[in-house]
Amino acid sequence: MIVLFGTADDPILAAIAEALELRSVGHRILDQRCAPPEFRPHICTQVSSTSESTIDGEPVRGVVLRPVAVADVAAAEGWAPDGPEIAAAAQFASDFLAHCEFEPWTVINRLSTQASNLSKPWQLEHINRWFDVPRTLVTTDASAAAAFHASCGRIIVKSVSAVRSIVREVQPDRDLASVAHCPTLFQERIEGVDVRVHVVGRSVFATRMTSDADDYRYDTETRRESMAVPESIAHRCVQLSDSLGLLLAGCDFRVTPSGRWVCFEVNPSPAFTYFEPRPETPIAEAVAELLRDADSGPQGTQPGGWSCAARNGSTSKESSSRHTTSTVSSNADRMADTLASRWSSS
Amino acid sequence: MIVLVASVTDDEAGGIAAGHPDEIVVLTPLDLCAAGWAAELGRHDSMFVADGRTHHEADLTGIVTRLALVPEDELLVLDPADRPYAACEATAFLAWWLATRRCPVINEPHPTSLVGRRRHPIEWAHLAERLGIPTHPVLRRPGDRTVAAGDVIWCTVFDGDPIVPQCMVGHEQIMERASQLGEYATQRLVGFAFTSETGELCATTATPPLDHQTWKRVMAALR
Repeated sequence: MIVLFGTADDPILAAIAEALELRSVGHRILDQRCAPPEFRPHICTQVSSTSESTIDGEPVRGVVLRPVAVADVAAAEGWAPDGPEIAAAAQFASDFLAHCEFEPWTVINRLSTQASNLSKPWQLEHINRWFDVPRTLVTTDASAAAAFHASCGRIIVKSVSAVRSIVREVQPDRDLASVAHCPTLFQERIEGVDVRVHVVGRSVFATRMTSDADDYRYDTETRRESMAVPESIAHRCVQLSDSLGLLLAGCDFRVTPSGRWVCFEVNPSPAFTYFEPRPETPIAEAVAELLRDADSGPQGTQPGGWSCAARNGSTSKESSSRHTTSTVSSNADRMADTLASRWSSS
Repeated sequence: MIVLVASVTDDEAGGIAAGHPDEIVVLTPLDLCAAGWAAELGRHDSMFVADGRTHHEADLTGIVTRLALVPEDELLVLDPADRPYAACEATAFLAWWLATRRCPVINEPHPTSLVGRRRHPIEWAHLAERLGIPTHPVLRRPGDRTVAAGDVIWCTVFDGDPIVPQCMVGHEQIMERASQLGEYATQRLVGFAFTSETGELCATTATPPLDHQTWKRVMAALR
């Protein structure tokens, strides 16, 4: 069974559920707003084992994680802060998400692998092994910000963390003096065209965005069109996603007039439906293919996985989606340890 | 200069710094709200603030992290409404800054925690069981059961080796178990708690007490 964890009205989960349905892949949306199911975790006492964790008696093969904070669910549903609903929901989410870290399931994506996005500069240092990244300064010093502005010409400001912020160009007279009380991230403004590259396993889907805004997400006039990407770019996108332990990733680029691909961020839980060329749904289909492989393949290809947080891409088949613009072979094995150990080895 | 990243209420860190005023400074959450920080991606010439003063990265010889995150309730100079956002931003910034300095950092941060990759107790329980180490139910269901502090023995492990104070003599099995678990920890400095009677793993921490022996080991690794 494939488990889709989040809320049933999430368009991403709905799109994946629809694609799984078309393929007759057994799946279930675990809606956080409903009473949790019975989760029976298998307790492993040896490296090799035969029994497995189940949800309402069914063994799990794959998981898509789009969890909402339990506090937000409680607020939306009107649950009492000390009521049984919130306690049950929190307990299930805690247990289930912890098990997702080490169970031999195909998980899109484990929370530990989604974590790189919690710190933009941390992630940018990692991205920079594969792609150019914008010059980036974090400061509480107005004079340092002013010097950076003078050096770059035009700069933008955005959040350091995963807290969503509207990217906007800095107006020195207005913005720079206010940085003194909180670390603030400035980035050189890169001229060019926005491209979102989604990586699903080893398949790559690119969408070009045309907008006059600094942040196309907030421009209702943004035009989106599918595009092909150079093989070398596709290959590096797969490697980057792979290195972060992600089976599904949304890589944000700006392609300069000279053809330089500058990467800003990798989104580990991308809202890909926004970018799909409706009525076609190539990304949802590729995700479903990946999960179908998990559902039909043997479980336990990894031995119980303490440090296999990023080894979840055990499927070996390539997506057969006809929409795939580029399919790339990744390195033989996914990284064998957590992001932390990879980082320390660099 | 060694920087101790710690809560303003961390008396242990304050005491260590007071004992080595020329060598050790404490960086508290309030320092993240002070003017003077400037760090550019890919460079190692940043300026930072610790103990209320601005310093140059070139003066850094080592960092010890004692904070999992920047707590919003310590950002007292900010408007209360701004504290949650500022705490989030400061944590994200520190995770990167600490992880990318050239000097040794104990424990090396991860975006999930400034003291190294955060693991759910259930993950530790799973590992322990695979290693044949018994676990107390409190590790899987912290809300359901408790273990009295007096019934617990803590063992600190540094670089896989247990630190052995006098009180650990006679608890060789616990030290062996801690050592086994420590080999799998991503942190260099980690503490494990076991029930004294049965030797069951019941808790872990990435910020064990900095007693004299532990601090000696940490300092040796930083120098």
